[in-house]
Amino acid sequence: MSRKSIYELYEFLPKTNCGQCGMSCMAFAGHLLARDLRPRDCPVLDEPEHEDNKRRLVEILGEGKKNELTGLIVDDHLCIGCGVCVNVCPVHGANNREVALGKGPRAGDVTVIQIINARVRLVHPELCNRAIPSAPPCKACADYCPTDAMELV
Amino acid sequence: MSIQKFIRASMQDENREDPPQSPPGEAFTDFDTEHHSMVCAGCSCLCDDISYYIKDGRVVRTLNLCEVGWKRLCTLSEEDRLPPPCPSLLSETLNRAARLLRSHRPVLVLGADGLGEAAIRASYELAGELQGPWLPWAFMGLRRFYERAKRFGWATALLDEVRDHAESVIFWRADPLETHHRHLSRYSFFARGRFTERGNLDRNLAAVASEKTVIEPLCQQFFQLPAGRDVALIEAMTHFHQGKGFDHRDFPGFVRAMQGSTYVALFVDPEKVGDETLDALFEWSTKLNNEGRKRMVILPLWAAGPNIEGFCRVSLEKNATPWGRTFAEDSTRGQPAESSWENLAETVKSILVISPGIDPLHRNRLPECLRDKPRVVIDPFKQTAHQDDDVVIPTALPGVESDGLFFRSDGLPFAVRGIEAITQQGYPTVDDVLANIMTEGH
Amino acid sequence: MAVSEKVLIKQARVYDPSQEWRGELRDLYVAEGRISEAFGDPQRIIDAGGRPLLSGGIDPHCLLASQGQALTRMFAGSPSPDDLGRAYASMGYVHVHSPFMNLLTAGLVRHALRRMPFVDTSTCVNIDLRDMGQSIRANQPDEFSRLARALIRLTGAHCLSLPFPHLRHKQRHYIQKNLSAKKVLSFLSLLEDPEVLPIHLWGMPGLLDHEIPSPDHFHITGLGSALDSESSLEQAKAFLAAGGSADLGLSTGQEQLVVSADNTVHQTSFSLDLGMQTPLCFQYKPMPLVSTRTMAGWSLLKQVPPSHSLALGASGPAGGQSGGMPSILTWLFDPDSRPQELNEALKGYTLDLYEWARLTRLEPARLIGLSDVGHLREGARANLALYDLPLGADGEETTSALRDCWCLIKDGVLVREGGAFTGSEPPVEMRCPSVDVDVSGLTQSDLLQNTTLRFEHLDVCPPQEDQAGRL
Repeated sequence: MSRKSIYELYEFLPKTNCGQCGMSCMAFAGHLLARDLRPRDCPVLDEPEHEDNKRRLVEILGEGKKNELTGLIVDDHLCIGCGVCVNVCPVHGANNREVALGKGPRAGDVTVIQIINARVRLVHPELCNRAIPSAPPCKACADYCPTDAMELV
Repeated sequence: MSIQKFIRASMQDENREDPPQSPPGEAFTDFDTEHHSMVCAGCSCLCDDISYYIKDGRVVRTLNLCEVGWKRLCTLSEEDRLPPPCPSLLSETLNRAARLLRSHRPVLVLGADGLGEAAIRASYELAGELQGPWLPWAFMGLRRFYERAKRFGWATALLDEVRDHAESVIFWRADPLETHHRHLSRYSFFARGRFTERGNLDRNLAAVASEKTVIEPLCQQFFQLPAGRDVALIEAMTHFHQGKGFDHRDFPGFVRAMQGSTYVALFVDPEKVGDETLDALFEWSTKLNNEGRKRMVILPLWAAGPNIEGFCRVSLEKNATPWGRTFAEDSTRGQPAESSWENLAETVKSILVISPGIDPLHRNRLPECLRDKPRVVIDPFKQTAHQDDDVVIPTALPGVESDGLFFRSDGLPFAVRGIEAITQQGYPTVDDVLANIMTEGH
Repeated sequence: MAVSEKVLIKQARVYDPSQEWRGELRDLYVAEGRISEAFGDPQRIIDAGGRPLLSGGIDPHCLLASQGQALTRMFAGSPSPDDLGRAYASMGYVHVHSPFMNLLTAGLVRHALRRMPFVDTSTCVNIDLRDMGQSIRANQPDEFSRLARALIRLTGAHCLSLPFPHLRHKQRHYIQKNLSAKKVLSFLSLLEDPEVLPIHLWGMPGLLDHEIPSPDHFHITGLGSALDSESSLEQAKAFLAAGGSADLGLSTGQEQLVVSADNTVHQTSFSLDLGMQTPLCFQYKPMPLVSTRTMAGWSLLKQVPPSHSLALGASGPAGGQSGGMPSILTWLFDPDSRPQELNEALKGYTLDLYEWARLTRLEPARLIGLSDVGHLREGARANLALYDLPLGADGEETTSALRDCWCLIKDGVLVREGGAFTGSEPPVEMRCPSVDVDVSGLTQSDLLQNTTLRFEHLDVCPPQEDQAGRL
């Protein structure tokens, strides 16, 4: 799956290193990627000549909030409820036979993510492999999301 | 791969809908009723693992429902509906419709493939009375596909078998992520099957399309080809062992994947491929199957009504052909229906359109050549196009507000039950409208 | 739907092997849809005038409904459900048994069968060794029986069938899960559960080469397809002599629907993966009158004594519509009308009406497991067929009389009279037994989990569904 990279975000920044945000533009791009900061936190982007770039950054980054435990961000505008993420989640594959076979989880099932109202939602983030500090970072859901609606930071 | 964010048409539309709102807090449990293991009739996937949660006569939460199914539900609100007609208004509307149709025969009865089986049968009887063509939305592709199935022979499978066996999955000018969102996760690629226990890791995914599509990032091989190049690719695949090549970076990988597969599932949208391509695909499948070393099944993936398979069955039963028929004074049973929209426009005097509702695949689907015909529309929803319709009959949404028997794309039937809490809105069912429309106005 | 009447059929030559009635002139009384004792106030009197009367015919093997069946309508104009039901009723049949259904396709099959007018239907459901094989490997007959009962209960089938008595996985990693025919048949021969026995084995080429222990546990359906070699005729006779049962379809040499385990694809054929060991090929083709298989079938009919359990099929949809069965019966009744090719195979053999009743009524009912049809004892369902078969009729007249029965009563409703349909529609139902099993304890089994459907949707015959199978 495509990944937002710091360099591509950097392309839309002023690249003046003015320091008004307290850091360089490259560092700001890193914080954008991590969703610690938003485009609105760069005063220079408010200027008319940067209006297009700001709009593109907002578009690229989406409006989803980051889940602190897993780092998952979901862009509701892009999610189509296809259920691929639910299906490929290794936690589900190991613990829920019906989900592994392609069926959706039942109402009482304990799963990491579910498709609720046609959008993917984190239901039990504590069960995600990413919540285990010693586990290798799992990116299955975001890797296979066909619309880039999921991002892990 | 670069960060090519997929820009969907809806994002560029000024009037695009906001994404569905999550209920406040995931712990929201204040429901009047819950319905589990329901069947969604949004497309021919017929997902049977849907849960609906109802409050105050509205669906406020769903589980496992994709965007296609969601849109059908969230557009049931008052703003998107024509008001339910009172009995006298309904009678008057049916009267007007009957008078229009009677005075403008032959009538094209179009679009029954979005209905339950009983309603499809009712539409057939009505078409017989109106002496015109009885066709689904995808009638051209339907006819072309099944004519080739008959001519070349046809290898096909239940979706369970595809899930269990397919090691190569090919989408030929069909994108399930546009038309059947959960197809990949439930059946064709990601689902773990009896003999594909690692799901997508045990499979190779390839696609052919005119432009980059939603499925492209998932594919191991993606052939972006202009129309007309398909046959060359198929021929190269059929004869690669004779050294025949194809100038595309993904071709060698495709060949390797096919060589390593014992079971290939090819999904094609017959409406989007030409005659030569369909011929070549069937010949390729026949050749591979008859060589005995691998199995290749072809399955149509229609961007059509969710019950296209049910339509085919009723048509087969009545006419011995699956693509509809023409009732004309001098026709005999089973006479093939018209073969193009232009032909239809020349022969019919009016149209009875059965609209599947608010669905981006079907917006503005009626081609230009038919738009000036007098039109009666049966539609659960309010649409801007209705301002040009002569008569609009609001109905219950099949499979949500009324029961119906729908058939999955591989032919398995599902009894789709209406959701009780929202079936009391006062809308007539499509079945009743079709059965009674011509009894009015005498 | 018509209601049954109180009917008196006078002066019929009645053939009922269950009571050893061999054509004596008798009166029969019908009331409330059943054969009844005599009563004095019939609503209708039918003077049979000495015509032969048999119980309504039962076809033990007809490919009625499957995914491929509907599609074959495109090829050869094969009959619609309505056509089939009508054709069977014309021939005096009241029940058709379809051997072809599995857990996944049960809904489709039942939906199609419900559309057939005039005849009751029943089905077999296929044992899926992929999901039930573990109990065979682990030698757990009780577990297997439990799964088998669940299969019957969920699908509303009348019995179990086994298309391929072996399991051969092609994929490298699954070789260890193979099951040999020997192991499977041995295991099944040890079952003692009357609810799942006998098991219907599909007549496939090579079937009779396998040793079948405890033949009385098995029924071979479509035996003709298994008679593919010189030795198979003797093997079939031995199987029947040892207590096994079978049904046999015969060919008239006309084109008919042939379903074979075949991966190849031909013009005007469908090759379908339906969850069986191999794809099945549905194709219309002429079955030659003279071939090893067909000659063996005719010979078997001649050589098997009446004490053996052999039933005669009506030759399927083609037989129903194109007159296969009437022609076959004519050849069996009348040596002078036979094609020359059959003279050797049937030399010295003539079928009489009593034996006809046994082969096409009593035996099929018994083999399917239906106790209230196939005979004319008091209390049986009032399914009666009268034929206008005058003495000395020639071949054509006989065929015509058998194709269009003179009178048919089904469940006490007069369906045909004077050789024509009356317009009355009798009640029809899908027959299925009531099986005692707790399916809820099996929801995590492979059988119920491995499909793409949730297990609750596999149940196409839930308890609240009525016996007629209506949703």
